This record gives sequence, C-alpha cells and structure tokens, in this order.
Amino acid sequence: MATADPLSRLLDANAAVLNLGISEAQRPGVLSYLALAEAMHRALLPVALGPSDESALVFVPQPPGARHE
Amino acid sequence: MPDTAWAIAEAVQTGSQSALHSVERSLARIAATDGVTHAFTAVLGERALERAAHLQSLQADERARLPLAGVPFAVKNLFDVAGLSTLAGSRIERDRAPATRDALLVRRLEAAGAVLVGALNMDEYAYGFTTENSHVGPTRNPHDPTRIAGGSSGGSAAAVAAGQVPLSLGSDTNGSIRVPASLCGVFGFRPTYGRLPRTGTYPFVASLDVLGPFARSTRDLALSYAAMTGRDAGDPASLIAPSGSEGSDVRLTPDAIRGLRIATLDGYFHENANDQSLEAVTMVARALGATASTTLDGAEQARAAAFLITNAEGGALHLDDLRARADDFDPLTRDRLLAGALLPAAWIDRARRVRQRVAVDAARLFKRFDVLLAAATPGPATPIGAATFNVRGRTLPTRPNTGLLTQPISCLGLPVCTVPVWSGRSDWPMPVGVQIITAPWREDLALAVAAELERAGVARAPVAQF
Repeated sequence: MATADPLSRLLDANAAVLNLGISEAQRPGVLSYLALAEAMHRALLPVALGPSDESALVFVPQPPGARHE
Repeated sequence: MPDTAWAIAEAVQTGSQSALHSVERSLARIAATDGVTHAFTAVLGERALERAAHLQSLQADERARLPLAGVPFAVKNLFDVAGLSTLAGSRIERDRAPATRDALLVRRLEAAGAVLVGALNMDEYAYGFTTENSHVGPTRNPHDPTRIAGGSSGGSAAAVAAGQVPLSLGSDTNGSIRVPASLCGVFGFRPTYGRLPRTGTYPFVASLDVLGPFARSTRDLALSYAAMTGRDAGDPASLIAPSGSEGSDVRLTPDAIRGLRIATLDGYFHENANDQSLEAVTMVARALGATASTTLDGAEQARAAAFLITNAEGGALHLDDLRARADDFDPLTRDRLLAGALLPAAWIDRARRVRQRVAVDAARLFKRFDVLLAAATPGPATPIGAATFNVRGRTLPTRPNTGLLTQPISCLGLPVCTVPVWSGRSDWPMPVGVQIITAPWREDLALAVAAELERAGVARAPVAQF
C-alpha cells in the first residue's frame, strides 16, 4: 500500500517537470486529492484488461467540407 | 398566465400573449427573486427586449411556425454569449475578451423563437456539485435558501425552480445537470454523449462533457431538445451521433412506453442512496409497473474511471493558468486541478480502457432492459457550507461525492432524464430526483417515460414560493 511519501515524491517530481509551483499552503490539499486519485486508481486494478481492451479515447477524423455553423 | 415553455409558445403563436409580455414577466421575476436565489450572473434585459420586439414584428404566420416563440431562457455561464466574457464560473476568464458570437445551442434555440435573458452561476470550471462559487457566492435552493442548489449547473436548475425562466441550459460531465435537477426539484435532461454539439462553450472534460436543458415539464424538455439536435463539425464528438431521427423524434404519448422492459438498478445504486432517495425510486417503479431489479456490473469502477479522467483532463486544460496564477482559482477547485495535472499517464490510460470495458458490459444489459432506474443523488439538498454528508452510515466529503450516483452513468455516455419526486412526507420536505436511464441514442424513451410519470403525478416541478 502506498504511503504519503510516494505521493509526496510524485508531487515534487512531476511539479518540477511541469514547472508547476505548488506553495506550502497548497501542498496539503493537493496531497489529499492525489491520495483520493490513487484510491480511485486502486479501484480499477481488479479489472483484468488485455491488449484488445481499447481506450475510450477515439479520434474523430474530420470529413471534407465538414459544416461549421 | 402560462408558465411553461410550451404554454408560453402556444400563447405567443396564437397571439393571446405577446413575446414582449413573456420576456417582461421573466425579467420582473428575476428582479424580484434573484436576491434570494442568486442564480444569475448576468441579466440581458436590453438584448432580450429587443429580441422580443423583433418577434412581435414578424408576420403572424411566421411567428406561429416558431416552436419556442417568445420563450425566455437562460444559460450556464460557460455558454458563449456575444458581448460577454465566457466566465465558466471563474475569476480568471473575466480578463478574456468578450465572445463575439453566441454558442451554437443558443443560436438554435433563438432560431426556434426563444429569447435569451441571462447567464447563470456555476461551480468554477464546472468542477463541483454544489455551486458554492467563492468568487460570486453560492446559488441558493429556491425551495429552501439555506440549502445548496447542487451543481455544477446550480444556477440553471435554480432559475427554473424559482420560476425566473421556464427553460435553461446546463452541462453535465459527471452529473452537473442531474444533481441540481434532483436537488432543486425540476426536470433535467442529459442526452447521449455526442448528441448535442458543444460548439461555443467552455469545456471541462472533452471526453465526458454533455449539454442539456432544464425545465418544469417533460414537454418543454422535448421541445427544446428537438430545436437543438443536429451535428456540427465544431464539436467532433457530435459527429458520432446518428444522422437520422432515431432518438430525436420524441413522442410523449402513453403508447410510446408500451411494452418497455424497465428495471431498478440495485447493488452500488442501493448502497449509495439514503432512504428518501430509495423511496423515490420505489414510487417511480411502482407507477411504471416495474418490478424487476438488475445490477450494472462495474458501476464503482466506472465512477472511479470518470473521477480520474476528469481530474487529469481538467488539470491539463488549466495547466497554464495553474502555473501563472494559481491563487486566482477558487480555492475549492484549485487543489483538485493541481493534483489532476500531476497524475501518471498510465493511471489515466487504464481509466479510459476500463471505461470502454464497462460500456461494453452495459450494452449487454440493454439487451435485457430498455430503461433503468436509479436515484440521482444520495439524498436531498444539504445545507450550504456543509463539508460532509452521510450515506448509509458513512460520512463523505460533499463536493466530490454528491455525484456518486450520476458519475457511473455519464462515464458510459448514456442519456438520462432526471425527474423530480416529492415524497409528501413532512419529515422529507425537499425533493430528490430519479434517473430514467436508456441505451445510447434512445433519448426518446427516457423522455417518454418521464412524461408518463408526469401524467401519473409522481414527477412534478412546482415553482418555489417566496
């Protein structure tokens, strides 16, 4: 089970890469939401997925002459 | 005096009431009640009166052909309105240039004769279920101003419940039409993902966002829905909608629901609803003669997937402003968006794959049933400022959890009409909504069932008394 430490490290590493400053005042709130997101991620782990399980993200090609109102 | 959209339209079409009169009535009601409800963030009196005068100048036969002739309506302030900055509930967007053109659905409603009278309050960037907007204050529930209106389209539901307008538009990403409709006691309708083009609206989560109407009658929902359907290349998601009339050709007569197989959702949807909400579902099922119950496998996972996709897409959308001016966000929104921007991509990809998997399983369920019933909210409206609420003995934070029962359904992109149910019990004075859920692109069935419940007197949306 993950503790607050891996999430703190995630916050520091990803915020640095994204050049996203997170103040000391914001940090506890952000960590609490990261913990909630991690709990949601854990809820997905029992779902067995195979290579043929496609993402719900589908690109929609634009037909020629598509009408923009 | 007519107070539903269809009745106003009929009166204006036949000439028994002028469009000017219906718009003046709406503006007067807003002026008299919005100090309590705080549904509006902008009232467009001059524009609305000019538009009404234009309608009056039409030939009688031209006016008679407009299905929404003289119907006042208002929109969540994430819809573009020419001349206004599209706020999306934020302070940050006040600095942007005003929109130069109305959103597509506003244009379609006005082409059908409706008259835009204003823009409505919402949770910042649609990220919330309470419309406790820190920048402009909370929208209050017209049926009990000490309670929330729900969100994020809280202003849209409250304006209809208060009788300020008979029709409004909102958006629903995780429940933002169904939750406020439930808590304010009005009808709310979210079509299938992709059905109504979002062209000219401020996005929240492009892979989940849906637009739809609020009203006090099913007939009004159907009228406005018919006026708004049709693909538009400005919103790629709308290109997946069927091009024919399936689902958009709505009949509200009793024969439209004859033979439908209807079941109540159990499992997750029972475990996350309190007694009043379960009683409302029972009342609806009884009125429809529905005795079956069934389980939507993967509901909890669908909710979790929607949470992660929302968090990540929302955080990424606002990354530049989070870097440059994080303190200008609503504190209730900011920390969630910051967290969302940091999530690992693998978590989000898994959420999208689980979403598709559960949608495939749900499609099998719709081979057995045409209509599914579930409560829209765990209970009635909570007090403004309440950080937590209880469901079945568990204490949960209000803002992320009021949509517990709506999130799994919108994750699957399904159409839902939320109908308002009043228990009649003195200890349950506030309404709760019931979701009428159908298969993708079968909006016609959801609206037909809602109409039957309205005829039976089980679903009703009275104007709040002040």
